[in-house]
Amino acid sequence: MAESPQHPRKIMEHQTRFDVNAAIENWRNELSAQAALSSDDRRELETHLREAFTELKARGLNDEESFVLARHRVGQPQKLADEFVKENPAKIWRERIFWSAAILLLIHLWSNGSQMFFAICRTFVAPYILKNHHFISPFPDWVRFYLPLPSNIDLYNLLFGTSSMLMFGYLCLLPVIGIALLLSRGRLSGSFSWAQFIFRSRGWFLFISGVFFLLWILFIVNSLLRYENQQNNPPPSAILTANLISLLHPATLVAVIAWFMPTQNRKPLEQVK
Amino acid sequence: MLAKDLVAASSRPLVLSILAKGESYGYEILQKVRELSGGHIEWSDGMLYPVLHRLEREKLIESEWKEAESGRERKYYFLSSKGKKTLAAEREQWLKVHNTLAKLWNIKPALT
Repeated sequence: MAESPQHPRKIMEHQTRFDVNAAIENWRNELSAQAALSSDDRRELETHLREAFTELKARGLNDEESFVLARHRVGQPQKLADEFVKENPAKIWRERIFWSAAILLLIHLWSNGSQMFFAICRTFVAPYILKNHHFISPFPDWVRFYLPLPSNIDLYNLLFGTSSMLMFGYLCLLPVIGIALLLSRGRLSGSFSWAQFIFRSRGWFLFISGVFFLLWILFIVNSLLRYENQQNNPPPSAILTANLISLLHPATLVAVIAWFMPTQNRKPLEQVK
Repeated sequence: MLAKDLVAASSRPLVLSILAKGESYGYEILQKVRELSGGHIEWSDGMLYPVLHRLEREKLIESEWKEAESGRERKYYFLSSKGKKTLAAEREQWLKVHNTLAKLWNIKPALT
């Protein structure tokens, strides 16, 4: 027996069914656009919205009515932000300082990391390029005789030579290119879930940073143990001091991040059933 | 409905007085104010939080995120020792205003 068709009204009801979780998500995005509202403020306002929603539902209103009324009661995001700024104008800077310090630390780490990566490339990849003619010169010698193609040495200098910053420049640009790609594909926020892991709590962030600095110091000590003290080289103590001083910059940034880290509830947001 | 200025001025002693009876969260504070005033004092929901945050910055109240029995997490506020002293001082001032007005309007001042 063929299935009886659904009543048109039921179909329409189903199609226009109000998704309260999506509505809350939209509202949350509107709040996030207000720089004056910290993550803790937004969390608190959302808790309030949910309390109001639950109460209105208990009074017999449907999902959509309850949400619209609860939202109206909490207030327009722009007006809320204005009130919060009026109450504490300095507050807006707290989160800005936090993110500025976090970005500066990231740039610092990337800059040092890319220098290290560049040095590794120069040590291990460059000799391979110099040895493999086919890699660079796919053309026969007679073509190379008439055409001004770059030689292996030219290419080596272009890519890894001390005067050339081409490779290093591209390495430094990699994060920008990566972020641009993620932005264009709308995957930026999802790709930074690791940041939530690092900034889970102040204690956790300080612990991770402490381990990182310890490894860094061990690396410096290990390098010094292998260091050959020749006549023209600076003494190991001077190198140790210089390296320890270079740690001051990231250590200061870590302290600033920990100090200005927003305290917030990390529990996943509840879903309305 | 009360005048806007009076609502704003009374928000501080009202919040402190509610918290003097025990810890509470934003939504509950609003409900209590509505209930106690018989609906005459109507605060805009979202505007309560800047008041709470200002009181917290002045160290009159403290806050803590806690999980309620329902499983929902709420930011609970409670009165600090400085808040108790401030409330006592504010109470004195409000009573003086109340008693003065009561005399002027020939109402028996019931509060002391």
